[in-house]
Amino acid sequence: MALRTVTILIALFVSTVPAMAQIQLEASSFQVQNEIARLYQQKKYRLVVRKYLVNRKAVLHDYRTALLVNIAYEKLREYPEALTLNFDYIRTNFQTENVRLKKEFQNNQAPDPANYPLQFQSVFFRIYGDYSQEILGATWQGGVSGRNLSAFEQYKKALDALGYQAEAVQNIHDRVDNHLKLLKKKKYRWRPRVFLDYISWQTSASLNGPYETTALLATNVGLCPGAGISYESGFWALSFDLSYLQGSGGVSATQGLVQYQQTDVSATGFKAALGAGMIVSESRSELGLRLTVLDVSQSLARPDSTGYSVEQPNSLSEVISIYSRWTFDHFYLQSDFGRYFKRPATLWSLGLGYSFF
Amino acid sequence: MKFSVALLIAFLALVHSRPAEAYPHFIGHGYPSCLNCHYNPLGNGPLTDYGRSVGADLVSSGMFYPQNWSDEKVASLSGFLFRTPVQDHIRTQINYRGLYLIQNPGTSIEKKQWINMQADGQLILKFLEDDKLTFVGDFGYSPPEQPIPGEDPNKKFRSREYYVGYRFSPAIGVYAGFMDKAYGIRVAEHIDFNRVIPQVTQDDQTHGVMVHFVNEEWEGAVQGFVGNLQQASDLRQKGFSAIVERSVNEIHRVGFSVMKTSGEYLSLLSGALHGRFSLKDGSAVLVELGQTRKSTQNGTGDRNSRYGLLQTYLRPIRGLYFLANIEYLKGDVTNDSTTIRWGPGVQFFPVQKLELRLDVDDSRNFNPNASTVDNWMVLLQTHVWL
Repeated sequence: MALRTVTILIALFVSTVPAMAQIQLEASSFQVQNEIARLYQQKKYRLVVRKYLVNRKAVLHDYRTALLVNIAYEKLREYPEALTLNFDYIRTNFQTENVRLKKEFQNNQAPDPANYPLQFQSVFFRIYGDYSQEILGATWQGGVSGRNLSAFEQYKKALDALGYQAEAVQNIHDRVDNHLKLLKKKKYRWRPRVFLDYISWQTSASLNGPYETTALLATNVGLCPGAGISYESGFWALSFDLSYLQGSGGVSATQGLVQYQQTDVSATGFKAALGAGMIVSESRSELGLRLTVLDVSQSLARPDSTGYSVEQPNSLSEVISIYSRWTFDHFYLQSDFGRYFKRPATLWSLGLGYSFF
Repeated sequence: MKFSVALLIAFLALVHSRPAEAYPHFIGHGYPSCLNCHYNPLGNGPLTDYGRSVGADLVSSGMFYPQNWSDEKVASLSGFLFRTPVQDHIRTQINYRGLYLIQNPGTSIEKKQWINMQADGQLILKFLEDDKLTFVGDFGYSPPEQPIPGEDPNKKFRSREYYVGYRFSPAIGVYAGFMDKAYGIRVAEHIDFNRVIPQVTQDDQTHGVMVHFVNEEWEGAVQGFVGNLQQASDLRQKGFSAIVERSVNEIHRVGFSVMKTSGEYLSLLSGALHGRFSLKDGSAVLVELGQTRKSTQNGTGDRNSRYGLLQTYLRPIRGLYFLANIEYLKGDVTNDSTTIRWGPGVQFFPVQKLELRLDVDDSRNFNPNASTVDNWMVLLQTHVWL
């Protein structure tokens, strides 16, 4: 009898263990969830995730707590961890729905949103958001993981099919799209070019007479074929151009009874320019400053009158200019407007060019 | 009583006004047609409500607004005196444009002057569905740059436009009154050769009738005119003009214009080809090549003049435009002398209703028989519209 009673008591005790264990677990889970909520409210995000890491099961069984941990990860900018949490949450709570959704996509079937709980859709949206942050965090084009990009698009497709938060989904997609375009623009590349400029420049000289000196200003026009190379991103450009210059111009002055005039005097030389500019439009139009060095020889004839001579300065001169380039696909127009150092004369040019890339 | 107050307000607005200029380079913002933003379908003159809001949020820099102001909030302040219109039929606008001009700076012939170019007001009355019927007029301080033949040289207060317009449909409209001639690219720089040579500057308006048409591909206008009726009848230039533009690749426009005017002393026959090309993001290139044949009564001023314009606007940031204004003039095609005017500039819209502009003009004469120094101008311009 006593043995029977003891056996029954043991059996009763044993039978209550799982229930008691469950009660204990629930009490413990409840404690964890409360603790995480408290830490979250105190903005102790690092402690939130630590608490999660040692109480994963308790967190993954509660949507609200999992959400708080997810946000904590996002606040800490730990998006891969946030993604892992969300995947675990889906596996724990919505494995059936997840598998069904995948199958529907594989079979090109449109999923019925009514078959998918809002919590499931909401976690999908958070995964989508975390992927977007991963991509937005990339600071150069090579920093974007192809896998992340592909997953981001997959989740966009799923959310579109489920019709969940359509506007927000699109806004996130637009942001990512713009960021990818920006990264593309940031990429530096070499861009070789050829061009032909119509150029007008001025050279100074002086007419020295027996009693006085008269300043001469020769105004020239010519053509300037050349080649250049730019090192540019979607925002900035550094360029170097080298060109041959062939032109002509005239000069006239009167000193006393002497009339000095030269027309169509040939001028040849080289022009080298170093520029730094800003890309100002999607079509890659450019605006910047350029330092040009000209080496042009132009021989003005000696005056016929005795005692008169023409003095020409060094053939080398420097010009600082504003340049702009207006691009139409590979072709471009360019203009340059500059002023010489040390003398009141200007240079300007207008040209047509072709860019190889 | 209410009617009298309305009349008084209308009169005051009219007495204080003048048109905003046209900016054909806004094709770079995706606006190939002026009709989107102006009551005058070929541009110039007062802005529509839509044009005002475009000016406020797309054209003007946002850098001086509070961070939390949305574009919508900025646009809501684009109405007359920063208010949102409460009725649909009356619109007013006030304009001021001043210029500080320095000619040949740093030389012995340097000359500086401040010019009040305009201080005037505009009144627009609009009726019927989609504002099919419009009355547009302006009046105010608008001294002509050069004395207008036949007009009192001391006349400083005047109107530069008043007309009635009726659009039978979005595609076709008729406009009658005192207006600019339908010819060439209506750039804001009224001293440019493409405006001076064919005589379509800011003081060359005429009384006439214009038919305007526009669709997705084509836009154009044909105008018949009887001259400026404020001038003596022998000075009036009567004639016609036409302009046609076609869209290319949806974002560019190419076109041509012709104009014939004749009076007792002078006849002009002009033709021009032009293109407006969008570089996107607010940047654009404008090109015009034209020729004008001038015939005078006694034959002494007869000549064929050829002119060209290449104007580019590059927009590095919102509100700021760097421009290059390159002009060509062969005053007489039989002569070897050519003038090229080259000018970089900056146009800045710091906030809505305010435009600041700096231009440098270098005019160079190419003459095989003479070498001359360049003529320089520095122009600082302020434009306020309310």
